[in-house]
Amino acid sequence: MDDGELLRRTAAKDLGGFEILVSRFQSKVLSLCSRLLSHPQNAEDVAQDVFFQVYKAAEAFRGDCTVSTWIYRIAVNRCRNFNRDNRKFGKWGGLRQGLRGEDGRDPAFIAPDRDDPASAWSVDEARGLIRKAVASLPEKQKTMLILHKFDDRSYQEIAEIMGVSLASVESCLHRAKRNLQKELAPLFPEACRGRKF
Amino acid sequence: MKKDKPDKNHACAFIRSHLISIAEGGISWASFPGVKGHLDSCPGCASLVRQFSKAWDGLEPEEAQPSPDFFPGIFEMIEADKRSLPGRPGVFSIAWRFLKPAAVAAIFLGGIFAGHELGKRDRAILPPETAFSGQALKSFVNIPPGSVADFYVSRQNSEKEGLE
Repeated sequence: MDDGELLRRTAAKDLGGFEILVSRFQSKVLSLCSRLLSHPQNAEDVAQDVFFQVYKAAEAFRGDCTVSTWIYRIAVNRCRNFNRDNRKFGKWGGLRQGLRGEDGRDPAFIAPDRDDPASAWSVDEARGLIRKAVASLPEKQKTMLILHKFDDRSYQEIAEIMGVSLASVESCLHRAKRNLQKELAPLFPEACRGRKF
Repeated sequence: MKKDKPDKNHACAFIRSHLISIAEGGISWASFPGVKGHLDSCPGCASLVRQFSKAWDGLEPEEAQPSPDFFPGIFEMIEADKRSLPGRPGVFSIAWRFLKPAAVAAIFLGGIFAGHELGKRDRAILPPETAFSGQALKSFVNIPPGSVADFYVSRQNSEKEGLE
């Protein structure tokens, strides 16, 4: 059964169809919420709210985009609203807490000695630092970068989800990558000091 | 921790500040031959670029798994919403929709009418001409001699006497 048919059943208040629709998208929506929210511990609550909105607004779906894009659009808007409502706390508490590991130390500061060939960079280590750097980007750039890099969405899909032009997506993603490079540089300790070209 | 200040003269600093460009192939080795040479000679930077490229290319597959209460939670929200919605409007609620403006207008007009009637009654008890007559002023027990009231009473009395 395709997504459109499931949404039609949801619009007819068929809970069976709605449950299949939820099970199909729940992991993706939850992952997106946990990446977009400044407090990832609230991701499940916000994701539930996203599907509740899907249930309520299923009749209003016009069919001018795919069901997946429509659900993503609702998710992005709900996350944006949540972040806006919790901005004051997030500014001082969320980001710094997010940057710290379980032992309370910032993982960027406990990286292994780069001069030691045995302690090479691990992929997980680098991936963790990328996530932290992405979290510090401005809201719009972060959302677009997450949709593009983490959810593998095309530029066209991002434009539809965010309600902006294709050119705007391209320029915003370019700025996001440039800012991300600036954020990443100090997170990686110098690999070798004093060497020149 | 030592604060890192990117220095363009240092190959490592350049590589650290262009990791995404290098990972996405946005840096041409022909334009930056020194970078390629440095990567060949520096195991630290080579390892960083290699692992960063792997991390950058493989960010997407991780998906969070919801808890078993995920769908029941949504179902509860739907049920709570149904309970909070108002029921089907009855005969009284439909009638009240039309009667409400009429009731508000009736209360408003009733207030104007009551005010008018009360005003008429006050005027009947104490008409203005009575209020300023000598009789009314005489109701004061002690009028101080030489006061404005005394002057007014004596003038009233003299006018009355003149008329008589």
